[in-house]
Amino acid sequence: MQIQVVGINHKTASLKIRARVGLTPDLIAQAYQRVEELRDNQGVVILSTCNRTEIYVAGSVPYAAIVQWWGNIVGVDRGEFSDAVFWYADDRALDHLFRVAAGLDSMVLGETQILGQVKAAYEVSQRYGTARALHRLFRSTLTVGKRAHAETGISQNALSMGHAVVELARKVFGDLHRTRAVVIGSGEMGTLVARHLMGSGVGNLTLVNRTVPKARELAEELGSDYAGMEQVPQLMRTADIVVTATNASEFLLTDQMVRTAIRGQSQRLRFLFDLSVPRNMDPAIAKLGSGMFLYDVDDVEAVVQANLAHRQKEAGKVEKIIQEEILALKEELAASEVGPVIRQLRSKADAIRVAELEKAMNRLGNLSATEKAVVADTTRLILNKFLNDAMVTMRSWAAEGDKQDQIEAVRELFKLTESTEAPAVQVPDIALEPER
Amino acid sequence: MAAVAFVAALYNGRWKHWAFYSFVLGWVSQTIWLAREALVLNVWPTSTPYAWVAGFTWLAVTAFAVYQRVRPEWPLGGFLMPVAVVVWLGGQALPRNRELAPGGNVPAASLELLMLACVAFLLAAVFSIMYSEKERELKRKRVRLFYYQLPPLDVMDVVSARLAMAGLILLTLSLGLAAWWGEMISGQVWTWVVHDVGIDLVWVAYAVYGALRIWGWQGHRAAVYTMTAFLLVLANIFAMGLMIHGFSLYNG
Repeated sequence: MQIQVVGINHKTASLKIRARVGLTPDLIAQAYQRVEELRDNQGVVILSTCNRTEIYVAGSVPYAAIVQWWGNIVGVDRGEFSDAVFWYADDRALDHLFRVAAGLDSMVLGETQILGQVKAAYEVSQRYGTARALHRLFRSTLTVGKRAHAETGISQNALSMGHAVVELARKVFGDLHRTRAVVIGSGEMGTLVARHLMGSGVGNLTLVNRTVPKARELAEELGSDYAGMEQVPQLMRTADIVVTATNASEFLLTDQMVRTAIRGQSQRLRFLFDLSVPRNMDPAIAKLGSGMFLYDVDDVEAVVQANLAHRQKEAGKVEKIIQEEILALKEELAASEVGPVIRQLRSKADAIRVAELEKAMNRLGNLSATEKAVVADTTRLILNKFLNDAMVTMRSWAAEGDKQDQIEAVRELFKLTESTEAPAVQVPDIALEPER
Repeated sequence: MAAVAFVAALYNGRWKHWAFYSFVLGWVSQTIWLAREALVLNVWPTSTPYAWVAGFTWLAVTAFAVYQRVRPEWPLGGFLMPVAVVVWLGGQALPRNRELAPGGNVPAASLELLMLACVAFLLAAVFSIMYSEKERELKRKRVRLFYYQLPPLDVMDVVSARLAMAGLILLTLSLGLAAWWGEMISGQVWTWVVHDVGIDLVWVAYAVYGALRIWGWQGHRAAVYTMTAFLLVLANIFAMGLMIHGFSLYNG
């Protein structure tokens, strides 16, 4: 059985194309209702997020048919987006889906949101009953995603400025619940950092702005305190984390101001973030105490870059997990294909044995029950020994994978069909011993 | 080997397994050796300076194992094991035949409490080393190894202080017991013998540390203090054991 994926993502298509052929929940519902239009499909799962739309199909459905079907669903001629479409089959398709679930294919390396989106996509397909032959694949995919995040550091360490501020603060203060933070500036960056700090559970947050109503407005939204610029020296004394993010062209925090504010507390740990350009904090502040840490935009950005490098290093470990899971899945899929063939072959052979045994028993009518049992047992032993090598070989195919041709050859040679799996001939009432 | 593997594990996680296995091997060997010394040769960790250091390093490593169970994510081994190995190697030079408490002039319980106190001081110093390394990375703004692996600064600071205070309490008990015993057998609570003065200096150093913490000391200065104070502990162990007549408390 072939597994293939047809799709577009942030690497292959512009935002315009992604928006044009992306599948909304309504369109996905429509697509699942029209899934029979994809002839010979054995399972369909659609994953659609703002960065990707991917259609996973089990079965020998031609690429062109899938793209045509997709175009029909979204009402766009396939010629308009086919250049941006990628197509992977078999191992490449498995590898791609596993990479997507682990966050290796995401815009932000190692992000965790995509795993939830993959899970949701799988659940929707289950609701419509279209996943069918893709169940195993998606169960393995969720395992890969969970393992990647649990066993490696692919999703650890911040990759955005707002997160990085919180992460750096956590490197100094283990528990932010006991800290007091002051954010000066209610612009885009100030708001972002304030949101992150509140989200991380900072004990107390005070928003400071030249325009107090603006600070109040944001403070009410976030559930924090607010103050005017004149209160900064007072706030500095008790603050553990201070962030400036304003457009001011001069120092809002001078070394003299901070020296006065922290008098007698020079050893206390404090983290100051100057996210303004030009700077709003005098660099000399960093020398005011051994517990003082002062980071500007470039320093925070350097941490983000270091974190990215760290995640890239972890990506190697995720790749290993993916390869392990691909092997395991292929074995599982192969076993699921070999299993029925083994059962069919044994069933057919046993049916023939039982039929011939019955004829023989009719000709040897004067045999005792014990003698009949011995004859029956002998025929079964002969059959078992004869089939043993074939069974072992086919089981090894399951372990090796990629043996579809051989499996088909066995089916062809012995004329095995679904119907041969059930006993074709009624077992006669002979005292047979349990199979050895 | 375990020390090397633990340090290597800081740089490459694949060494963690080697570190663990070599640690278990080393710990089991040391335990068997200590048991043999005690049960077969009747040399207990409180018998000679050499045996005392062997017992001290075993206890420190055992305490590390317990800590690691509680906080497996903290790479304490990479910092503690090299120090423990250096102390153990240094202990090889200490006298093997000289009694620690000639004529039973110091109760064994006092020496055991002293050993526990020194282990607490060692762990406090190790957390201070970890603090200093992480602080250095953060101050230099070049995040590398310790930024990702070590606990937050304030946590290491508090753990170090708690361990130092626990050590101070144990040392106080040890000295109190020795003083009480000394009064019982010789009528003297205090002598100006160099060993007594040395160990009392250690007590004073950690008592001052406790006072400074209450006064507001924390972070960098506190870390430097506990590291320096532990050097005083080492000086007591080795200088007293090597150069002066055995390492003992109130032996007159």
